Amino acid sequence: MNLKIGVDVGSTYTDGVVIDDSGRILHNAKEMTTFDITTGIVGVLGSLATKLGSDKDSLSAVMIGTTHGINALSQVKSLNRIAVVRISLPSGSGIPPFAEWPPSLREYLSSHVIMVHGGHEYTGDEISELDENALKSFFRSIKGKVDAVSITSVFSFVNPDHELRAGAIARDILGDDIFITLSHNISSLGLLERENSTIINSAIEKVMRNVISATRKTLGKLFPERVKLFFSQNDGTVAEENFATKFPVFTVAGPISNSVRGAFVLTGIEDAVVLDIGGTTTNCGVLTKGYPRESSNPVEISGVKTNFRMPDIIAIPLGGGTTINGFNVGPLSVGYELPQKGLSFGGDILTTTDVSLALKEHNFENTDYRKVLSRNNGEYLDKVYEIMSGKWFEVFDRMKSSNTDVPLIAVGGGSFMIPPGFPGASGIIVPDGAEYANAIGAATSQVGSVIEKAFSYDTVQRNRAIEETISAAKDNAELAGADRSTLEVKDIEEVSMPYLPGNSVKVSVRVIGKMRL
Amino acid sequence: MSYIFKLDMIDALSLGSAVMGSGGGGNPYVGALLLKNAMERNHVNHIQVYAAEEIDDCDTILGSAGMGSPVVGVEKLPNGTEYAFAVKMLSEYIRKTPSHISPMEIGGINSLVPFICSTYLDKPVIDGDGEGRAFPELQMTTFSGFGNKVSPVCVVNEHGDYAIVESDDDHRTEKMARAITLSFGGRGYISLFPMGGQDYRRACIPDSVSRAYEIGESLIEGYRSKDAEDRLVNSSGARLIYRGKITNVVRRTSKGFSHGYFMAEGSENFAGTSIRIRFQNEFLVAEVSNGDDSWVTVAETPEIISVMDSESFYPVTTERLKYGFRCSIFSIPVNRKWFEVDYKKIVGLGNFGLLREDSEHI
Repeated sequence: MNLKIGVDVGSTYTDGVVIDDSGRILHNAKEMTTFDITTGIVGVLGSLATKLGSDKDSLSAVMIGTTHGINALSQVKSLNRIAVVRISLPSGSGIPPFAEWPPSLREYLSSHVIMVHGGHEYTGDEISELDENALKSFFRSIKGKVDAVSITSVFSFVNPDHELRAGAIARDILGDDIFITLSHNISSLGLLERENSTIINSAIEKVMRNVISATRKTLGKLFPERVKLFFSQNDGTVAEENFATKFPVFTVAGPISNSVRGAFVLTGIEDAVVLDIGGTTTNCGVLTKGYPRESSNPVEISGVKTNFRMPDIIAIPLGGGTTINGFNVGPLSVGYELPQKGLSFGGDILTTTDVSLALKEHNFENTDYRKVLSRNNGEYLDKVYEIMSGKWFEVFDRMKSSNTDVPLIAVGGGSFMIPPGFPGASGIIVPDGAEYANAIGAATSQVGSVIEKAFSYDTVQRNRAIEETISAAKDNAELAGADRSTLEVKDIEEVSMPYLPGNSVKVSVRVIGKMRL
Repeated sequence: MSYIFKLDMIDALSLGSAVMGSGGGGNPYVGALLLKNAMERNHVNHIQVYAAEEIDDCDTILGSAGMGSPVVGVEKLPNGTEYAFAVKMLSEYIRKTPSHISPMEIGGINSLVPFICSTYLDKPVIDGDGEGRAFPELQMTTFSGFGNKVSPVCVVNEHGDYAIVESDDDHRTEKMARAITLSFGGRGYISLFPMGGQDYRRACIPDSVSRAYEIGESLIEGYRSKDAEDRLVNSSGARLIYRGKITNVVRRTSKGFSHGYFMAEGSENFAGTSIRIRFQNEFLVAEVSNGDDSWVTVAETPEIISVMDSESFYPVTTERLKYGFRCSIFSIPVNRKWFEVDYKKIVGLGNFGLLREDSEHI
């Protein structure tokens, strides 16, 4: 027997499940999400260990989806002291790094910034030679003053040479303990957004290290030493702790992707729209070939414009604890206080849960929907439910990518509220275990990697370009903890880059495989 | 009337320019950041703007703009001095010092470019341009319509390399300048259309900068007061031509331009109909069908076609169109100056290969 634990940090609850080889859920646990997040995770691990008893010796891996990184940014807490290098001169200095950042973050992170000569054209030719001397004297001047370095060069996703060389110089002068992020490993087109993403990666590395050491400490007390630790990534795969420490930005949206991924695991449906209805919000995402669809627009994180790969999600303020005021639904929510404040639970606030229970004439263990009916007439409740449904219909329709009907999967604690019919849906599925879809998503995810490279098909043959990208993706997946022999190419995408001559194409390849245990 | 342009006016000008850009003109975000930085760097807190009617006969006006791929424009950013350098080298070439800098077009980054120039050269900007919107090619201006030449053009890169392009034929000028821009890595910074005061006054579209600013300002106010649509209509004379949801986007790239069309199905008063809008970098023609296969043109170049996000009421550029997007589509009248020239020859559908007989090939 081979057991795995999945833990997912939501905005209200931190959920955990234990699953066996066949994907069966053996145990589950739920804790309030704590302000520091870690305490909630440790609590869930503790109660799962208790429930497992002597079976805990069969545990092989723990997978965690957490929002530590975003929290650290929004609180400007536990961030690395960093140096920011942009390789672009004589171009680029018209907009220096940190343009339009929130002042508190900028102040903390922007003490050591330099722009030097170098960078490439879209063709891969040099804009100018890399100014190694400027880099050397800069790194010497900041030695001992920073924990991490962020290096971004123009068109490095076409030619990474200058970033690689600058990284080697930084390593040489600043030593092995310094953390270095090179932008071509993070994202592609859009210098400012890529630079921002690279800075964020360097800044939140310490947070990730702290989570890992705290979790490791707990695991050490509760479970056998050989247990592997993985983190959920934004694309619905997981990566081993060492990889997650190198690329913490790739895990900031782990919990959001986990529920989309969990919807697939619970239903086996590869292409669908997923509504994850929680306590305060509904997150709407899309399953494409079993994985969350990515956003094509820049995503703002803690007020900073970024462009690394993030799930395409629309969040609306409509969850199980959303309060009703006349014909206004939300945006306020009673959140985790639903069991005290909701009308059907004996409280005095009308929430979406109360409306849904009354209309569906359904009860949970601790509810009585008649309490809702005694204070509200049916016509009014119908009208409110119609307004709620309208919001779900709209977000569902906005996320569909074509006019044809698609299946809809509802998960999350509020999924019982879902209307019985959706315009444009070929079917509505609320799977068993929907409440734990996020933790199940974390526990069952495979190791994966997506690599994006830019080529000019006029100079590089198409199949060579694709082969090169596949092999880079496999190397990366191996670093993320995959067993190379199990790696499969899941997706090859070619996007031509508008306005650029020479048949310029962005090739992205996704590979997925089993974890190396 | 002359007025003073200040730092806090940048966001409104950039937003209004995006509305008037007819879906094109590149990324206004980069332009706004560049201008903010240029004002800070050069310790400029106000820029003098003159109305076209205030230009004297003896004045010399140079146009200022960026050209080439907006894709390169978001990766290889300028250092900020390029636009001013292009003006300087063109003025050396023609041996005349400019008295004013003029926008070439209103849209995206290009309405802000003359202001960036001005912070380096200490020259005033003119409240006018040659298009009153954005178009993809250099000669697609009222400047040309009144017989002025695009050339000589100075094309500059970030190294301070420059080329002077000179030809009697505007189309050849455009072709050469575009080729040089490609050799500069896909993005060039240009100064063009040298004109005397009299020619400029006759050929320019007056008040276009303040029109963009007013549209932007009224939209920003409208976001606060939740009546952005009314304010757009009042400030720009916009006419709602459609409301609906995008059902299909078709795009292809050739010769350095992005061509294609998108379709939407109607909601509210437009339920049961569809709209088809063709573009080449900018939106060019909008046609509505009542379900049969006949299409009726409801707006056409040079009229501005502005696609707004129905929810946020922000303007949407052609590269961001996608399925499911809720949009409100407006046509905004262009300045009547366009109708004083042979506009069909300069910016009519035929210039984009979109005349009825060949439109099926798109």
